[in-house]
Amino acid sequence: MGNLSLCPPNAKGHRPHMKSKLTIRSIALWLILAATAVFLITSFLANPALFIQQLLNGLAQGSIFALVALGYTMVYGIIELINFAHGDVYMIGAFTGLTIASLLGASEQSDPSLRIFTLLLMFITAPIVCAILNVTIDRLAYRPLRNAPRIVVLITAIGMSFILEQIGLWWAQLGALSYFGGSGATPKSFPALIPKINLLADTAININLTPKMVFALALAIPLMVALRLLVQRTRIGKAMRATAQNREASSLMGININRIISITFIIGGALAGVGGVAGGLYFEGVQWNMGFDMGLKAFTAAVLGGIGNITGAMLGGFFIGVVSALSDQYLAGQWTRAVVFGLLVLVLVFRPTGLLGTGVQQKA
Amino acid sequence: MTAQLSPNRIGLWLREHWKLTIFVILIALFPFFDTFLQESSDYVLGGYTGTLVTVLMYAMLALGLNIVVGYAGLLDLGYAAFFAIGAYAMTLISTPHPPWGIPVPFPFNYFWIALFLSALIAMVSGVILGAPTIPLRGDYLAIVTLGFGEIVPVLFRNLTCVTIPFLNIECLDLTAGERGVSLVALPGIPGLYTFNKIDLAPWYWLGLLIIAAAIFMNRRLEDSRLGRAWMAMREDEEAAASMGIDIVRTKLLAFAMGATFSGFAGAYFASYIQAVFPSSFDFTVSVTVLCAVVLGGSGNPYGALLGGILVAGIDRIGLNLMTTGAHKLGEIIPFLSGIDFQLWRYGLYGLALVIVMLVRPQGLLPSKTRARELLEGAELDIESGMEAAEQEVGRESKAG
Repeated sequence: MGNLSLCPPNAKGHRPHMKSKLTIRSIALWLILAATAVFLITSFLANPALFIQQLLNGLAQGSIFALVALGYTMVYGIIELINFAHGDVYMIGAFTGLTIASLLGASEQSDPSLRIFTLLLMFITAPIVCAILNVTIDRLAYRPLRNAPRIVVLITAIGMSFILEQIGLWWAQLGALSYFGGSGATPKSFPALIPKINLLADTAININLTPKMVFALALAIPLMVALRLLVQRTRIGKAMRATAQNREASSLMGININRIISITFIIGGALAGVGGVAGGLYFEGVQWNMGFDMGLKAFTAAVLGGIGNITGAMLGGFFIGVVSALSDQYLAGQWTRAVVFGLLVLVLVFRPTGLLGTGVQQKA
Repeated sequence: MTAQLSPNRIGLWLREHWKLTIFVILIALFPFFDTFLQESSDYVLGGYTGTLVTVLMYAMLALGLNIVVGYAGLLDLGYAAFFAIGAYAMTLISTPHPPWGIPVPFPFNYFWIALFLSALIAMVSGVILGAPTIPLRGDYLAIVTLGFGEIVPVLFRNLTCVTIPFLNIECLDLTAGERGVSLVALPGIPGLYTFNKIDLAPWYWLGLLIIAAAIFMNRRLEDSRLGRAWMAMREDEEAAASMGIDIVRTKLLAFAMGATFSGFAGAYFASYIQAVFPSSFDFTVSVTVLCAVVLGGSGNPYGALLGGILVAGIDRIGLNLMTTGAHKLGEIIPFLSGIDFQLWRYGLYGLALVIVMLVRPQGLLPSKTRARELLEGAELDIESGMEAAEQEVGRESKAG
């Protein structure tokens, strides 16, 4: 377990004929980058306000992607598992939030004190539910397979994802949730508890900055800073980094591996729960199968930043958010999926260690 | 050599494999049994032939993916992409009303020619999509293939207005987008019989024939030089390379072979359904096929076949039967009468995957080598368990 592969993916001289191939690859990479740069500059000059608007939208939704991406990157960093169920944990978080809003009867029209109380309760309950859920999944499904081949664990994760989607489907059929319209498999609207106003309405700037955008960023960034501090400065963080580096050696150093892995799942689940509520508030809708798409986007973000790298996952999340917002605006929404996954493929093919480059090397 | 297929030898082979022969004959006779079941039960039961055609299609896909995942060990999460390419190629080549207006001329739009053409197109796309993934391994490979699997349906959905500046082509509709393309060529024997959507038994037999060919090819590939190269690569890529195996060629051939099988399945499916839509080729298809291979036992064509039949069969027929049965029981136990197991699909499916992976990670019918590989993990598990126990003892003694 955990040995670095003998040959890094792009090592020069790996094969005699790789040299010419490398130049073709780098030329292709530079052409793509140059074309993107030209495209971005021209669209900025054509309408600066629109461009900045999309940039802000992208950063706001990117902060939600980043919250989910952190869970992916931490779990991958520590047990090298693509936790397919993570996107669905996000979905469960959103459903928890929606249920609380339905039970309290809070909606757009309710008075501010109820809305604030609902928000607080949502942001306390959803992370707890998701953390417990995530750690339970690890306990039941992943821990017994700790030393099994990766494909076995991966299939298990896909199975867990299906189970969670089934739970989501059942949850969506509960009567209490029909409060906000939409039943069963159809998308449900999430109450807009944050006022929908334009913070820049009175200024000359022609940009629509809504409180929910500010809220998403103000929620995500401190959490990320806190997580980074936790991993870099505390004893638990040190143990996590050690476990990620070499599980056997750290267990010999007296680190309780299973406990550290559980803590990782707890933190990842809690962040997904926060992300779920924030995502529900931001996108104003939840659906039982929305976890899959979010999971793919967040995983792309984690890979972009260099999987296993916490700062990378945050930057990757913002990056994916901005890219999808720009693609929505300048290419048409139906291409966004292809753009995001095209980006994923390009990064993995040209720079498998991610944009920050210091992540875990790919392993055989 | 020329006398290999003399009647005498065929007779000898049949005598040697009489159990298999009887089994295959029974399977092939199923449509007659199905009709009998339908008529004798007043159309409550039976009528499964059409569903079985879909099940057979999944079995074909599983046999194709068995080459990529089972033999070569390349984790492909976007296998539906090649299925989509095969189906779309078949449809666009053979339909009399392609989205761009002018149908493809005669010899190519004939079913059997179009079938092999679409398999060829799928094979080429397998090489094209496989090429960039050569340096990648394991999870990274899985993610890139997943990306391709997501991109291909988006292309089919959105390539409705293609403008190529230098060829004077403006807004050419290639795929008809969400509307899909319908009317696909039907298989048949010229002058004798053409397949139709009323009599489904010929579709079933054609499916069986393709599966028999797929199993034969799987078996032959397994024992071939190429098959052994795939397995060597699966066990240890570096060691295989240093033994003189050309990794690039071997990997590309695995992708190409897998894509070809998928192309056949896609073309067959398109002709059976008589239409293609971009929404039929999403991630669920890739996952279903991968699960079929892993559940059945990767690396063993019979395992993949079993997996494909189980996964698709339970989904299409089993849930239906369970619901009917529960409603029958509901007359005694009222709680059961409202149950619809079709709505439980995801949960049951996920539960089955998790349980099989926990209890029998090598799959139901594993190949011998692959099972040994996968069970080595279990032995390691015991070792690490002992390590943990030793640690516990150490901690207790420290505390005491």
